[in-house]
Amino acid sequence: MLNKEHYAKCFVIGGLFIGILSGMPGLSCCCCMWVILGGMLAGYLLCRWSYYPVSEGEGALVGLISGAIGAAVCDLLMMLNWVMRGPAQMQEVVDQIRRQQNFALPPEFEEMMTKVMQLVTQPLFVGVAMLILLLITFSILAPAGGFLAVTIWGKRPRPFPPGLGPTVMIPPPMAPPTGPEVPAAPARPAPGHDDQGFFFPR
Amino acid sequence: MLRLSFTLMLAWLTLLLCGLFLPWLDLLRGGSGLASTLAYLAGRPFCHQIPGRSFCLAGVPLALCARCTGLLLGFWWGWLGAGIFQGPATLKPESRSLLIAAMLPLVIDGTLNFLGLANSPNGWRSVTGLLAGGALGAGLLPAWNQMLLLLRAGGLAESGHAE
Repeated sequence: MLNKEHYAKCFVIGGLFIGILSGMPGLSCCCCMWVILGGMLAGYLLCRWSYYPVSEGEGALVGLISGAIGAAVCDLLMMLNWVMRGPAQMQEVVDQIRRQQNFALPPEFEEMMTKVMQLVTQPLFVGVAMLILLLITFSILAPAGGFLAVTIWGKRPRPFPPGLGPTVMIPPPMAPPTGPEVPAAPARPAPGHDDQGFFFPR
Repeated sequence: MLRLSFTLMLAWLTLLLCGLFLPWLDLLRGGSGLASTLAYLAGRPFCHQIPGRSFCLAGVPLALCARCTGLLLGFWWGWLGAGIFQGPATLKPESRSLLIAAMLPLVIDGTLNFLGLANSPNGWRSVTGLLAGGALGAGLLPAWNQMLLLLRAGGLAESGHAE
């Protein structure tokens, strides 16, 4: 993971983007676009800030963690919204079903709905249930955005400052594991260190 | 490990698809019930669920709109197809031009509808979602496998272990 030092900034920014926009009432219904865009934002920032080429796997990784952070932030905002408007939203769903059935719902359904209403108006229950659903769903969509950003922007990393360059060979594309040994991560150049320069001769 | 993660993801996507069709499955039992209510509630954070923009059967809409339905179906098919044709442990990344070409109809159609310059029918919305979802699903599989190998290699390097 040659670009590990940039991961934290990328997934915090991506996670906040996903969480705030997905959790705001009125903005949240965009067919999951905010989640994919947030993953793309995290992947794009990693590509812009990295000196080494970024792999699709790294894009998926920052997307995954952005999705997890976004799910937590979104859940928090949704719980606040649910406390204020939860019973009204639940009533909207029940009314929609009543309209579909031309208002001819059997009495046992009405009784069951009353019990469900009592359960889902508990904010903690709603919060935990939504957190699980959001975590799993965002963790699929956000990595998709991350790898999409790397596929589009990942092959042109940021140039090194003049006089500095990599002191290690850029590793070849990842191949499937063929044996038991795992290659060690290559050494990073120290800041300000004069390079011996494989690619950027002075 | 890669095969296991492929299987788990496929199982989860299949579960989501079944949840999407719960309102229609409820119709077979004589009408909407608890399953439909939970499906609509679960879909609410992700989709506007406007009945006019969703596929309906006997007046009952699905839990997601037409575009989201296409996205989910495409994602499921893309993930499964990549696993079948390239193998569940594939690391070969998808072509960039193919990915952009598959996403473009969704982006253009979504933007035109959002700005009010077009009002696409549900069939076209779902087709754009299918294309984009398929490309994302197929492209995510190698990236997901790379990510798992990176995490395993990074974790082993930090703990000083070698396999």
